[in-house]
Amino acid sequence: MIQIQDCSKKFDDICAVDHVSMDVCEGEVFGLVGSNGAGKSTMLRMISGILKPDTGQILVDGENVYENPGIKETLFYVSDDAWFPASYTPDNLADFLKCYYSTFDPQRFSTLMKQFQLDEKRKISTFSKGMKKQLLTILGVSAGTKYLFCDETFDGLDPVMRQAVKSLFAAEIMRRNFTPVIASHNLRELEDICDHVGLLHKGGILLSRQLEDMKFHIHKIQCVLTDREKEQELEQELEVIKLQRQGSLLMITARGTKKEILEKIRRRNPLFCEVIPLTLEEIFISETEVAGYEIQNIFF
Amino acid sequence: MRSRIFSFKTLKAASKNQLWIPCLLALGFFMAFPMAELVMFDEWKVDGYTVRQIGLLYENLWKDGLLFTGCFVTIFAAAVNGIHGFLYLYSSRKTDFYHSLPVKRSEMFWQKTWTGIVYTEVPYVVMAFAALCVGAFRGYFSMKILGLAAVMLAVHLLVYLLNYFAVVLAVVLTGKYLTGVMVLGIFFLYAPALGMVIREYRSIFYDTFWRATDYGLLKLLSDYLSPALLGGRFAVNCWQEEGLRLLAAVLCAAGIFGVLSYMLYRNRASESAGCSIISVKAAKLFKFMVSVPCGLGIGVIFRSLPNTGDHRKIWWGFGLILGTVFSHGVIEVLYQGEFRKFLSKKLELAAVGILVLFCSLWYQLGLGKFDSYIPDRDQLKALNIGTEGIFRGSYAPFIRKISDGEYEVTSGWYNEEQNLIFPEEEMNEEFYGILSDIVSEQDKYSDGISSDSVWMGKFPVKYTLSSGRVIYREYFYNTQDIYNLLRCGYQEGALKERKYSFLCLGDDCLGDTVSWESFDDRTVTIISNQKSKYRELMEALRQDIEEASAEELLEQPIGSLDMDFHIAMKEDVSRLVPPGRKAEASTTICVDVFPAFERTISFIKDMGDGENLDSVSMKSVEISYIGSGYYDGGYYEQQQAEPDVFDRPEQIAALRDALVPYYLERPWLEYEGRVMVNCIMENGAEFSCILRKDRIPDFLEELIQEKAKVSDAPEGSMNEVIE
Repeated sequence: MIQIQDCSKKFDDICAVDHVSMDVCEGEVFGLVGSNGAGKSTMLRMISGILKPDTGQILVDGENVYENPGIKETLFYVSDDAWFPASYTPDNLADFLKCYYSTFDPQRFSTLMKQFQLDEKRKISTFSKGMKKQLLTILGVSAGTKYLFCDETFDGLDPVMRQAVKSLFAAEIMRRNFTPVIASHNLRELEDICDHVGLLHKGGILLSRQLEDMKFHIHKIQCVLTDREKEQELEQELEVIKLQRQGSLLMITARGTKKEILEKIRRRNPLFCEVIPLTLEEIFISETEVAGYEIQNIFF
Repeated sequence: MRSRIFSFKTLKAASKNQLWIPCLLALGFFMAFPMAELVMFDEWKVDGYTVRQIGLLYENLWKDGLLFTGCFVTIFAAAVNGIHGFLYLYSSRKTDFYHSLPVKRSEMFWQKTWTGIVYTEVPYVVMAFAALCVGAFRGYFSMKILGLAAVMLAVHLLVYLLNYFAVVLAVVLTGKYLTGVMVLGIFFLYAPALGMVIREYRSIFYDTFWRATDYGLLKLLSDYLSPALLGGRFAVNCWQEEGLRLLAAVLCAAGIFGVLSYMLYRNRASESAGCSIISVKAAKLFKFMVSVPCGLGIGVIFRSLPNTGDHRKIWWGFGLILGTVFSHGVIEVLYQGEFRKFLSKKLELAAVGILVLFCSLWYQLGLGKFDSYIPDRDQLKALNIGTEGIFRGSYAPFIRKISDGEYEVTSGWYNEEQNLIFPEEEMNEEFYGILSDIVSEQDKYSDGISSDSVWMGKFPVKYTLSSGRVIYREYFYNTQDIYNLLRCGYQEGALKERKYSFLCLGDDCLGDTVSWESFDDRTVTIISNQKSKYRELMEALRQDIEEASAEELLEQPIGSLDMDFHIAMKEDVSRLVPPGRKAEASTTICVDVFPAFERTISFIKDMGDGENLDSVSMKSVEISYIGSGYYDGGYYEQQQAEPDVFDRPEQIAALRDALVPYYLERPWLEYEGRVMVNCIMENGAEFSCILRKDRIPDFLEELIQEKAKVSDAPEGSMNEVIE
């Protein structure tokens, strides 16, 4: 289990991560989502033991991760903008990592390389961006670590490869004790794979919940009420995140279970009422809007 | 977990595609060891040395030559390994890669250090072994050579570690290429460059600064505070007397650099990649360290642009301001990586400016009392006086008999043995008093332009303090000063023994010829291949010198002898000569012949020469007067166009007493500097003379007072400018 306790990180005057606390449980796929500059990569680099938090601590299986090789051997960091030693081939890199990760499985590496149709003897510098991402993911999986931290892993992968990586993660979870933590903008991809989502915004954590639980507690409703008074009453009664009006049609995004929300609407005898399922992307937009990330200010 | 530092598996994995480093170093060590050895063997063979001599030379090659050549490659290896191992810290991508690995920073530091050592030492050992094989193949191998090779390896390893840690510290301290190069430059070149600036300022503003020998701070800066120079000096001098001191310095410096680089690396934040210098305090310190000497240095360059003194201060001031602003601005641009930041730190610039001003005033106003410094009498252990300038034409090297037929010759005045007029046990109050008077009068000479004081030259002094510290100075002297100093040296000190140390030379050292320097600067050979006569002359000289008093040795010499010697030197490896030739040094020693040297003068006359001015028939004496003065900050001399001619017998007789051949001018006697004298003999030959001041006839004294006035020289009429 990874425990992030009141962690902060500043780069000069910029606060990249601001007093964040959250837990990553074993055996679940953790999605770390957030706006640009929210601190996702910084958070991952701190969890990987690359950066030292200015305040707070990060415990992996109860031990501080920074400068702790024993713990670092249980995790593997797949960078968004990875560097590979000059003139190295995937084979060379695997040999190199074998020296540091006692759990590295060369057989598995070789098998996966074949499955992903990557040449082990070709220089990495000649690989495309997507191929490098695939290679890193394969290396991460082959390292046999308990935790795998992926920064924007799906970025640059074609749809087939995305599915392949997702199925690889699923297979690994089935095979062994494996906890991938994936930071991404691609909420649709995360939606398919994540069990738990941590939402970062401007260095702080907005929410950290099970995806199902998150979807269970936020809903979007379309309804038509008979008069304005009822509309105002409903707005006050519900925990409204977002309210839009198109003619007489009200579109409300509100916190609460589906049952609670529908009950409150039906009490006001609506002419029409429908619950629309929220995507992770919509939840993200709604939550960040509440936190002051006004989408209207971005789109013109 | 098992340490991976020395693991061959890790080394092998980390060395993938890195083999160019050991290959490059192998090439360097090949040239430094086997190739250098082969070249030397060929050279010795061509020179015709015997097997025994080549054995000695070969041993010395391992002791000295290969240490020197290997040192270059070792320092290069340290730089390559240091940069290659830690340059990843400049890139955040590379830093993420390495720092995400499950390995402690401390472990990674030593792993990289170990990898570097392996990259260097493997080719080193292979090439050193090849060099040993080359020697052994030619029949030169012994356990001593093997021992020397082992010592060489240890010395080079120390030099390597010193420079490696210095390079690593520079890399670890910075996060950008430009600032990395700057800090590397500071570590390796700053101290010698600062030494140059201080040396320049001292030589400009301190009249008593002795430029030829570095000591104290300047020695520290030039020899000890640059890792490369310290390493090189240690490699070259490890077998010398100062070897142990240098070893201590190398160990100390390597330790400091090692600990600092290790601590900084361990605590360096990964996000420091891309920042100029990781420590703000260090950055500020570096900025001051660089911009202050740069400002002062550029000031000196501008000061040297004009020819005359008056404008120099203006140019100096301009150079100081320009240099300070420019150097501070450039450093700020390098530090911040933006041209617009040239004048961004005005407060820091002002602080640098104040420091530059303070340093300039320190030198300009002589606030350090440099020129008036003389160590306390009770602190003084020994005094060396540089007499090369004082004795001018009659200077002789110091010769010491080592054993029968073997001598040691040294000619540097600062040598401990030579001219050590007053070693500790002989230190004399009178001598110290005379020297103190000379030191206290330095101000009046340095005032220069407005002063009437006439100085004859400068002599260097080496003070050796009881603490072991040495201090050098160079003092102006006048005739009376130097007379007193030498009289005291002859009477109370060891000056006579040292100046005439050639008397210890045996008959086997006598050369072929002895010449008498004629009054008109002609050289007349009085002995040629006559050993018995030469022996007679040596005996006469020995007796005359032994009996001569201090005052007699400070009279006007009547001539000088050039004596040819072949001195058999002690055979050592630096003086080996091939068979058929003798290990000897040929030297000519010039000996003043004073009126008190009766036996010598008689001998010279017996040899049918020794003509002096008294015996010459002169037709006339022509005297030109030299007017002098100061104009526009410079000193000018103006010679009278038409000389006065004195041809009456009574005039010539009166003048003859004062005339001295110009080559016999000695600084402890006073001569008239305001005249130029040309003597014309009956046969029409001419020669130049000078006049003894105390013997100038009255009629000439009046003429000199009248015609050689000190005045401001009118523009366009001066024929010489003396700065």
